[in-house]
Amino acid sequence: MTRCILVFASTHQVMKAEKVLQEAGVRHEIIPTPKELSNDCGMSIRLSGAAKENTDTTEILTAHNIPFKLFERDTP
Amino acid sequence: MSIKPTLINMKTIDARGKSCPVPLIMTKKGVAEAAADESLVVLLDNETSAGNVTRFLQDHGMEVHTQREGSTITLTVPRGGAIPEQTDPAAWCTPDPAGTTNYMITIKQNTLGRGNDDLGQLLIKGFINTLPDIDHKPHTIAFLNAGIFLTLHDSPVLEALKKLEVSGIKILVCGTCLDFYQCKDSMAVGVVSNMYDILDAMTKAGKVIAP
Repeated sequence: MTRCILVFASTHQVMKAEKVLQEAGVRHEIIPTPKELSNDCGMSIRLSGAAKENTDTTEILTAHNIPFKLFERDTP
Repeated sequence: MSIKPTLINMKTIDARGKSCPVPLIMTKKGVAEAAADESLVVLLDNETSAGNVTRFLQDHGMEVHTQREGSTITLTVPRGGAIPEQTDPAAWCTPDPAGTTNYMITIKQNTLGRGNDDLGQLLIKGFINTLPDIDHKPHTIAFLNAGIFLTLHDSPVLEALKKLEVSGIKILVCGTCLDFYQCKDSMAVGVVSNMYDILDAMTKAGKVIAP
């Protein structure tokens, strides 16, 4: 199963993004940022589906001026 | 390497069938009792004990030779040594690997730690969402007080908890708490439990993690 991991610049940005996604009714999960993606011990947001299936979500975040990096991951 | 011929005076300690710290205690006693010219042989039947006893002897300056034959592991110490009386052999026990699975988690609030509540909610989500991905999972997770909010149908970690429950992990939800917060009908994962079930699980667990 392909999933997207959104990595943010700060914990405050994660919280802001989470609030925006909650208000938009987007299903998402908070997970610790995988070690290979970032050295800081931050949190990230995980979405099911590949990047192309999540364009609506990523547009919402961009519209709210929340920058992020997107990584696709295949997980069992 | 054959070392048998030279072992004329030897003291044998049979610690087969014993689990830690017994083989270590027997070894300490054997070292203390062995005569100066006596070599020491320790018989064991598992790698964990063999590793522990070897470290124990080596840490006290003794040379150890290992031989394996069938299910028996033979440790030979050509020359004895001294282990201080006050040394606690149990300190050389490595935890039983199986013990890593005999643990449970208690969640007593819907945040992790004290401080900023928004941060606490973010952290508890990260904590629970990580549980399905870790190698050594708890056998039970108990939710008490405001922790029960995480088991309701609008829980942000419902998916992870359902996944854990399907994989056989017991999810205990405090019935008194569901009743107090008047959300018995909203519970979406786990089984309603009372303090008997929860305390029973806690006392039987090798360790209890309370984030």
